[in-house]
Amino acid sequence: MGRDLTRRDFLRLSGTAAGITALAACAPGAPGDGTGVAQAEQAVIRYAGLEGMGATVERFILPWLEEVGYGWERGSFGQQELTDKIMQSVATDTYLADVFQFPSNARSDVINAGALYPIPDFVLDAIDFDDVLPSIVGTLSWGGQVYALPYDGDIHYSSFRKDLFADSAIAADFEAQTGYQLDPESGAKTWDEWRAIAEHFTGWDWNGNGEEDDYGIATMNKRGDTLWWGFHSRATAYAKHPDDPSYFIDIDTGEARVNNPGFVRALTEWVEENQNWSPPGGTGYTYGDSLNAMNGGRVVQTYNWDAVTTAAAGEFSVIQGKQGYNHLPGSYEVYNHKEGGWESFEEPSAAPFLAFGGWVIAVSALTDDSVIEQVWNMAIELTKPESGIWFVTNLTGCSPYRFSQLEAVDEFANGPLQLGEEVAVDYLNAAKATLDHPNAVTDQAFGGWVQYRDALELGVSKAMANEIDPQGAMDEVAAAFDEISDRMGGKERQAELYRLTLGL
Amino acid sequence: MATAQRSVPPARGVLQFSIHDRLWKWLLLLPSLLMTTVLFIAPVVWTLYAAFTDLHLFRVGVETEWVGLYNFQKLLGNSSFWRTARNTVVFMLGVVPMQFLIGMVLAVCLDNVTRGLKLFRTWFLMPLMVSPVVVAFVIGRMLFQEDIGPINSLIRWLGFEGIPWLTHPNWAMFTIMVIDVWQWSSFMILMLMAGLQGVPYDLREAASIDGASFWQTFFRITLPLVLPIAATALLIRIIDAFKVVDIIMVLTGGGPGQATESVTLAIYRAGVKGGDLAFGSSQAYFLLLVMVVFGGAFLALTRRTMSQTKD
Repeated sequence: MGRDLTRRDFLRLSGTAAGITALAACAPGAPGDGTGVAQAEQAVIRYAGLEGMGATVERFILPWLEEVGYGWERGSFGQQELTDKIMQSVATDTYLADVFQFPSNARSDVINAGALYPIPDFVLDAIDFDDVLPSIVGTLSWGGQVYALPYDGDIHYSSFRKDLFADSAIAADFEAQTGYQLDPESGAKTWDEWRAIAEHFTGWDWNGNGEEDDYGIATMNKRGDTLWWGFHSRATAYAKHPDDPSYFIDIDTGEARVNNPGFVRALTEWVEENQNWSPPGGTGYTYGDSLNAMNGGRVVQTYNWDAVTTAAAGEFSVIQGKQGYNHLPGSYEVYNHKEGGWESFEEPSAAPFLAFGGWVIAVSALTDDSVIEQVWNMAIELTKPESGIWFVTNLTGCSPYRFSQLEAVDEFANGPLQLGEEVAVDYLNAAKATLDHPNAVTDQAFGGWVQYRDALELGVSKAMANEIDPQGAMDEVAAAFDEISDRMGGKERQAELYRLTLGL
Repeated sequence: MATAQRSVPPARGVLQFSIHDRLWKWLLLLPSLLMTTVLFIAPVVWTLYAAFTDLHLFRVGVETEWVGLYNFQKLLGNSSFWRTARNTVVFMLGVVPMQFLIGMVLAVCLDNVTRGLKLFRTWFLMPLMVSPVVVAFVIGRMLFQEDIGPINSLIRWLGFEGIPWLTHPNWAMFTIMVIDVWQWSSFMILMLMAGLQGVPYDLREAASIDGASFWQTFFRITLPLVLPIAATALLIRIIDAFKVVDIIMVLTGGGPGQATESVTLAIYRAGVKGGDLAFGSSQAYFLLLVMVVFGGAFLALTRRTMSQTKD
C-alpha cells in the first residue's frame, strides 16, 4: 500500500526538521566547535559562578569590560549546583565556561584532572602574588604550580559577646560558679572555657527580653548543610597535634584517623553542648540558623565564616559592635595519634580550621586560544590588590586573603562595612591569627572530598540524634573513610594526594 | 484497493509522489524512536552497565573495571542502605493511605456541594501548584521552626513543651509526612472527584429509593465504580512516594541521623554529589526493582478486587 504525500504532510515534515535544526543551534556552547569559542569579532568571556557572588563579580567587572570592549556571559548557579556542574564538566572533559569560581577543597578533583590552565607568571606578577598569604597560596596550588587565583579567604573564627563578657557583675558571677575568668578580649581560650560559658549563659534573661530563653551557643550541625565544617572546627584542637601534619587520614598510610580519642572526645562534648546549651532545634542548625541565633541576640558565642560581616548590617543584627572575635579555642590536652596517647601542654594548643578554604577563580583548560589573552586580562582585573580590597570590604561574602588586607583597618572600619575601629581590629587580628597559625588545619581537599564529607556528616548526625554513641559513630565514619579511599584508588594514593594538598 | 486508490486523480494540493506505507510509518516513528533511545533506553542500559563496574566520576587516572555483582553485594550488606529503604517504605505507607482517605472524604463532600464548587476546587488545588521545595521551606522550616516558629509558640502559649519537629527522629519523619500529605492530598481530591463525577446519579438514587443507607450506597455502588481511577491515583502516588527527595533535602537533609533519608536521596548523594556512579546505579536499580514488584502486585490486587466486585 502506498500513500500520497500531501502538501500539509510535507510542511509538517519540513517544520519538524527545521525545529530540530533550530533546537540544535540553540544548544549551549553552540558557537564555534563546542569548546565555547566565540566566533564573533568581539571577544566574549564566559563566566560561571554562584548566583550572589557571580552577580557581584558582574557588577564589579562590567564597567571595565565595557571600557576594554570585551563581551560577557555569566552562568549563574546555586552552591551545590555549581560544584556539581564543575565536577561533571571536569569528569566528562566538557566546556563549562572560560573562567569559573570553584571551592578550593575540590582542587584535587579539578586540578589533578588537568581541567585548568596553569597561571602564567605575568598574571602572578600583575596581581602581586607575593602579597597573598601562604595558607591561601596552598589552596591555589598543586605540586608547586599555581592553578587558581585568590578571591576569598574562608576560615572559621570564634565570635562572642564582648559586651556581656566585660560586664563586671556577670564576670564575677561566672568566676564564682566556674572558676574561669571571662575575657572580653579573647573570648574562650579553650574548649573547656567555651563549655563553661555555654552552660553559664543558658536559661536566664541576659538579653533583657523578659524571658529566660537565652542560650550559650549555636553551631552549624545540620546534615547536608555545613555539619562537616561545624564539627571539624570543634575537633581540630583535640585531634591535630602540632608536630604531626596529618589530621583526616594518615599522610603515610592513608588510614582514617577520625575515630581516634581526639575526635571522639570532640564529638561527645559537641553533642552534649548542642543538646543542652543551644536554642530549641539547635541540634539541626544550618549555618544560617547559627548566625541568626547569634545576630538575633539569643546566644553568646558561636563560630562561623561570616559572623562579622552579617553582624555589621542593621537589618540582620541586633548586636552591632557588641561582638569580639578570635581564632578558634584551643586545648591543654591534644591527642597524639602517632604516640597513641593524650599529651598535655602548658599553654592551650590551638589548631584553627581553614574551613572550606574559600572560593577561588580558575581559567578552564578548554578556553580557546583566541580569547585566552582577554581572559587573563579579566582575571588580573578581578584579583589584583585594588579589586581584592573592594571585595573583602563590601558585603560580598569574601573574606581577607592578603597580607595587605589584614593591615587595612581603616577600610574595614570606615568603608562600606562600617565596622568601627575596635571591631575591625578584632576581626583582622582573628583572621591573621588563624591564617598565619603554624598549627592551622587545611580543609580536606584530596580526591572524593564530597563522599568523605557525606560519610562524616552521617555518623556525626547519628550521634547528635542519639542513634549511636560517639565512639560507634566515629568508628563507622572511619570505616567509611577507608572504604572511600579504597574506591578512589587506594589508601596510599589518597595519602599521596593528601600530602600534595598540604604542600608536602 | 490500492489500485483503486491510485486510479483516483490526485486531489488539489497533493504532491505527485508517494511513499510506501511501511516506510511512511517508520519515517513518522523515527523521531520519537530516536528520542526514546537517546533519552530513555540508552541511559537505562548505560546505568545497568555502570552498576556492574567501579565507575567513579571523580577518580582521575584509575581505569574503570568490571566488578560483577560487587555493588549489589555491598548494597545488600549495607545497613545504611536498608535504613533508607525502611524510611522510604515507612514514608510511603504513612502518606499514601492518609492522602487517599483525605482525598476521598473531601471528594465526596465536594461531590455533594451545589454552590461554590469552583471556589472549593480551586482552593483545594492550590497546594499542587506550589513547588515542593517552597512548601518544605515555608511550611517546614518556618512554621515548624522549633525555637520561634508559630506552631511551637502556640504550643508553649498553651502551656506545653515545644515539640522537636525536625530534630527528633520520629517527629522529623512525622513532620515530613504532614507536609507531603498537605501538598498531595489535592491530587487525590482531583482524581477522585473526576471518578465520582463518572458515577451515574441514577444508580445512587435507585439505591436510595430501595432503602440503602449512605454507607451502603457508598461501599456497594460508589466505591466499586470509582475503583479504577482510585487505583490509578494510588499507584501514581505510591511511585512518587518511593521517589521522594525534594522536601527531605530541604527540611532535614536526611537527618537527624539517618531518620528521614530516603533511597532517592541516598542515590543522589552517592551518584550525583559523590560521583560514585557505580554504587548509585546499583541503588537506583534496586529501587526500580522494588517499584516494579510493588506496582505489579498492586495492579494484580486491584484487578482481582475489581473482578470480584463485578461478580
